Amino acid sequence: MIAKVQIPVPERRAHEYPHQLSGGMRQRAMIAMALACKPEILIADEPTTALDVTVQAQILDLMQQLKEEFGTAIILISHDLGIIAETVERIVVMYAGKVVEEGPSLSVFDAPKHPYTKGLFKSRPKIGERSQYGRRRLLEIQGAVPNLFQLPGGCAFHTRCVEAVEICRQTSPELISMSDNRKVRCHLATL
Amino acid sequence: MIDQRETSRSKPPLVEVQDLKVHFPIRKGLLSRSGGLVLAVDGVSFTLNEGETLGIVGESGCGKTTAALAVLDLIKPTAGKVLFEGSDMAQMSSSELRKLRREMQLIFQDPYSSLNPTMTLNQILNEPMRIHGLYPGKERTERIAYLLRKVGLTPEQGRRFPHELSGGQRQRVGIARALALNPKLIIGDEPVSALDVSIQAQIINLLIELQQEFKLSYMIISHDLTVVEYICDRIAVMYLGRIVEMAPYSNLYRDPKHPYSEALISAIPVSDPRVKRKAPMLQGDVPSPIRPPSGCHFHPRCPKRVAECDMRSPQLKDIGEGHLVACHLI
Repeated sequence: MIAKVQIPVPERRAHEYPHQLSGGMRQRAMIAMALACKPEILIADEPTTALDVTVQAQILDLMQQLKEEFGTAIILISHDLGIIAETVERIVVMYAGKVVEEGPSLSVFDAPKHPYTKGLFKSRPKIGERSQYGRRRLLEIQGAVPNLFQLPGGCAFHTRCVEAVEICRQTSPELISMSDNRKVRCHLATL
Repeated sequence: MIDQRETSRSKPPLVEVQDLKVHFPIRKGLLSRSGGLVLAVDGVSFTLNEGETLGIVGESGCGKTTAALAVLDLIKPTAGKVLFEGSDMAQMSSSELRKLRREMQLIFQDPYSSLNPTMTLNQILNEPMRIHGLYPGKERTERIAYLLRKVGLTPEQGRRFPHELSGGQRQRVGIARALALNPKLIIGDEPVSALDVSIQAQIINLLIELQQEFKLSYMIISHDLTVVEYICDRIAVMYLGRIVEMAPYSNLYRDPKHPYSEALISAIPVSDPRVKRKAPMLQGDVPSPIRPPSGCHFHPRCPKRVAECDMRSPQLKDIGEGHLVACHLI
């Protein structure tokens, strides 16, 4: 397993303690542990957030290779849209404890339907964008994530939503299915 | 006469760093036998002009924060000079330094630990003005209200404590505190890294608006190359204590010259599922700055290295348009 996660000189490394390894190698060791019993699902919670960007690229590539080799399904939890875009096939967007949008990656990135997803995509600068097209003002999502103990009534996002209408304050929307395997939890999607 | 002299002599840059070195001794055991040196910053030079934003990027341990702390005189350099508006900070008396400190302020990464939890926002913003004896009496109350409004808070929120605020609001307080003394230079050490993605945009927009209004110069330290491209005019890429490339933002992102900058930029995940990232160009981790590799520090990981690279360390060369690269292949 240690060789599978591409740690050099595995025979020697097997006898070492975590503090003797670099951050990237520790994360490789974690992946080896997780895959040791041939699981059907691997859940990776922010697997590269603590790593430097050049090491992050190595780890993401490794996960992709192992997924193909072992046929393991992966649930990748991340706040980094770049990592999501390059790794996953299907996306679930969550807000305040609920799924607000779901669908195939390409389709969601091309045409986000929930105002929260739209806001997230527009609030991050894109790499190379300013160099090519100049600086556009970043879209801000107003306010902050609400306290989960005191969620606003109706749709939990309505207090920050630029598109909110009266019904959003009254009732919480259902997750509705749409074409192209997409789902969205927003009153406006049905209007 | 005087006018002539002023125009003929060009104004010095706001900050000029010349061959800065910061080495930390490693002590072993109680008898503090020397265990060698960490070459945190190893011969760094750059300038920052008025109203400009300089970004410093690099991976953990490359010395970017240490370089910034040396500019603020919070760490004494082992060698080299830091000039502020042309005068050498090492030659200044403590009263001169004290005056200078008003001109340079710091915004921290973590808005949770960088605000005193026992103070209200009013007290937090009062501190710098009290220490420097500025804006006495009623003027100070007015200035605190003004600062809160400037960063998008209300004067009524001044009676709150940090724990009553969200992360984004706290970072606004940190920015207001940095503005309190009307500084010329603000150094942001990972100013948005600890914030939620949806909040980062608010703080980035605020930083840019404040810069335009107050003609501030910024030094932004970050590992987030996407944010740095968006905010900075000029960017320095550091690797193991040295600057390997420095260029205006568009030159660096369109046409990185140093193999490390190229690898760093190509490793950033693009938030577009249609763009496929190339296979990682770099193997292994950043080596330890305690015993950095010989010659060019990057040579063991460099895909393009030649025989010369492990023997001599390359100097920064100007290749035009303010683009500097330290690589034997250029």
